[in-house]
Amino acid sequence: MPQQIVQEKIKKLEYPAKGNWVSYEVMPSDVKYKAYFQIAAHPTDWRTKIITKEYKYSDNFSFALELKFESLAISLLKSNELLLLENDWDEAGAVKIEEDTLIQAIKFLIRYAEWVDEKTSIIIKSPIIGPLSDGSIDLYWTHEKVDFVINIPTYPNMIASFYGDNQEGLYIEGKFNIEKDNPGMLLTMINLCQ
Amino acid sequence: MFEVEEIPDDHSLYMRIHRQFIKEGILQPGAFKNHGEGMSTDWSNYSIPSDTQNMARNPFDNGVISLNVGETRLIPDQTVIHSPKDDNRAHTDVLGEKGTKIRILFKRISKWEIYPAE
Repeated sequence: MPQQIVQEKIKKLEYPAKGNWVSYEVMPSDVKYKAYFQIAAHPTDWRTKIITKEYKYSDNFSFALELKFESLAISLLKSNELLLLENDWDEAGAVKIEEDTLIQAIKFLIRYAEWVDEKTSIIIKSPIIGPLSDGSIDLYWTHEKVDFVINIPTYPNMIASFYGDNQEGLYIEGKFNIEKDNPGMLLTMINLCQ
Repeated sequence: MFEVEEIPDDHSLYMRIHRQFIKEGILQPGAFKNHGEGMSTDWSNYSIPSDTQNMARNPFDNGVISLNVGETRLIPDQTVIHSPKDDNRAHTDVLGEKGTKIRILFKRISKWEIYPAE
């Protein structure tokens, strides 16, 4: 696939130092989601490797993630269907999901996933991203007896609440600031949902 | 006006679930939120699941789950109050905050009665 991509529209991002890899930005025409690839190519080596993709989420927001987070990126992209919900989408008076609320959920997930990867080399499992009638968003992980949910509040509120347990005595519960904190304890529960 | 009655623990409450609360085939904890003071349900003594579904504006966009009353009362800070309306004798409110923990506990005791049409 990288060789095929190189044949499409490419833009060199930097000059290669002799013997080093060089980055290109590529916009392939046949990807499922609109995405820009950043690839690296060696001046004397035919092999190329994809480094990051930039994903267009909406007219107002794009995000970039390394290829190893592609599963997470696809989950994030799918969540933009929530922007189609109108007021009273649950036929019980629910308020619409604002884009700013979704974006702050996405920014938190990206930052947290990259932080976990940097600290532990673990790629976190993608959550289910679901709407609530009050306009907030749940990030939900579940596996067998384990359930874990983080509630992302409506923008501009920043204090998220979370709860998770394994029905066998292990549980975590609390609140944190989604812009500032990287609660390592969340990872315990996310890992149980792998 | 219907009389307010005490609901026995071995009865059930039926609750409408909009299809937006089902993701990847999984019922989301987000379905369990208060609307106003409480979470609206219908007491099984005066209702069947299809009654609850048919009260929706678009019944086929909605499924119905059941909650055992005794198990509901065991969830912290939750109170089951029969609150009949002129057009719905079965109407029952489940009062109490619905934070992240409570919503997960509700999800665990819920059983599908009618799954929304595909």
